[in-house]
Amino acid sequence: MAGTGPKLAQSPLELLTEDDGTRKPFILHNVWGYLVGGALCLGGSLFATHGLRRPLMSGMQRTIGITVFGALLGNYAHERRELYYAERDAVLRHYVQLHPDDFPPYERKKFAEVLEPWIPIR
Amino acid sequence: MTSLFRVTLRNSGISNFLFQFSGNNEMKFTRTITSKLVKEARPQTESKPKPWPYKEKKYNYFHQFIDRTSSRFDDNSKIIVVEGPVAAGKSKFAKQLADDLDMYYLPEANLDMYYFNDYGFDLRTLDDQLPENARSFDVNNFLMNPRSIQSASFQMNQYYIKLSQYVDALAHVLSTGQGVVLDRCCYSDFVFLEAMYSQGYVSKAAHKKYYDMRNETFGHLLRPHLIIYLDVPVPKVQENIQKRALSYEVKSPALTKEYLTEMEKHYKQNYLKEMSKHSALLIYDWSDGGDPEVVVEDIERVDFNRHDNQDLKFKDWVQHLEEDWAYLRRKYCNEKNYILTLSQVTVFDVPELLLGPEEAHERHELYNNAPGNEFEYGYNAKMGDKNFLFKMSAKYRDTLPLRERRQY
Repeated sequence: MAGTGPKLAQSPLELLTEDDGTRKPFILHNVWGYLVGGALCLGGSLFATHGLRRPLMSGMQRTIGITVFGALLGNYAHERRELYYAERDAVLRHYVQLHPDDFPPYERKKFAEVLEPWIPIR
Repeated sequence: MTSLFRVTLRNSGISNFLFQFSGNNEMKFTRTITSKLVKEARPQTESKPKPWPYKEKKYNYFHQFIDRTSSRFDDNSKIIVVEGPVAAGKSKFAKQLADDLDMYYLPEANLDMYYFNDYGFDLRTLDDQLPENARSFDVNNFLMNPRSIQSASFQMNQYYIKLSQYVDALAHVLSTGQGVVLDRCCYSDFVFLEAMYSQGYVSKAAHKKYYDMRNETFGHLLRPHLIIYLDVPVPKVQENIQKRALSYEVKSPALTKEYLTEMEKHYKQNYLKEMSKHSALLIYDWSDGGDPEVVVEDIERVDFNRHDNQDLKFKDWVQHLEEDWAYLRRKYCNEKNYILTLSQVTVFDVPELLLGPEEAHERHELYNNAPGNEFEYGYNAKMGDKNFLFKMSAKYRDTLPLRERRQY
């Protein structure tokens, strides 16, 4: 079975490195913010139009404007989130680089070595 | 609060000094209502700003700095109410009076104004699809069936629609400076309630609720300047009803001698007595009709400018600051719905004013899906509205239509 499945990280530093090949980003990863923000604001805008007792296909400039604004807002939130985690990882990576002794490469073990013998006591 | 910090010339005496040199003081007119004829003969000295289109255009806070409410006021910016018993010839007289005084005539508020929607669809045509107590109930229904369970709510609706009309009248005076002649008003509506109560058509609890509603909304209005009461004795009223020959009035079990007497009693002993403290009052014996021109002459003799701090007469209309007028104008133009909402008093204890949830739901569904009621005015494709794909505006205020009561 060797060679199939995702690549495993060899050390903590590798785990914190981006594009280490250990994971694939979600296909919609880059447009996620646009989609969620846009959809929420489009729904909200149509709900408001319905609440004003008007046909959904009226005041389109408002609906479109609110949707575009919502998409941009969603993307902004997404970018903020990305930035937050990137910064966190960079801090951790830096710490690992400064203290290599505390973070040795992972030891490959078999489960037989991990599990302790079970001795039933009756 | 602003008035506390405001430095004005009004009280300083300088204004009087300035006034001596401002304009022509040789000719002095008494400040009172003038008829169209006199107005035309008089030289036009000052020009008024154009009437504010209050039905379409909102008067917001910042407008007061460029559009002064009092600049449109003149001697004829008054509210006149014509009162009287049934079939006294009020509408004809009021119409004539409005014409003579160059004022705006508002027909008597009636539930036709409510039952016809903006597209002219009559909600009463849906009655056969509704349960008995959720159907429409109008004056003719009341007159034919006064002991109906809906009589009390009918009377509440009558007050509501009259209140709505009176707010419109105030908005008209403040926005255009033109006077208004009303045919009955919300202040006198209680005489009908009292007459109904005396005959046992409404219960004591409903009677009390009516006054709760009336007291909630009262303080927000300015009382009329002038009330003209056309007095017709009861036998003559009955004769007039026969002469008018409206089937539901002639055959009505409600319009009895007792009912009409009670109405007259409350008109004279409650309404006129109370209102004469606040408004000018003219009473005419209208048994055989009369000449509106004589009334116009009498109106021209009334001094509407007389007011005193200790006197209640015309006191509602004494506003010292321009912003007070602007405040009132915003209230009557923009916040009409607020005043109307105040009339929706809580009712839990009067069964005749309550409607069961199933019936209420049924009526709500039916009325909201009626032609023209599906969407807001201007957005109904089924009624021929077009091009609303990019439309965002809507009516900012519900002005009652000038619709006379249907007579059949």
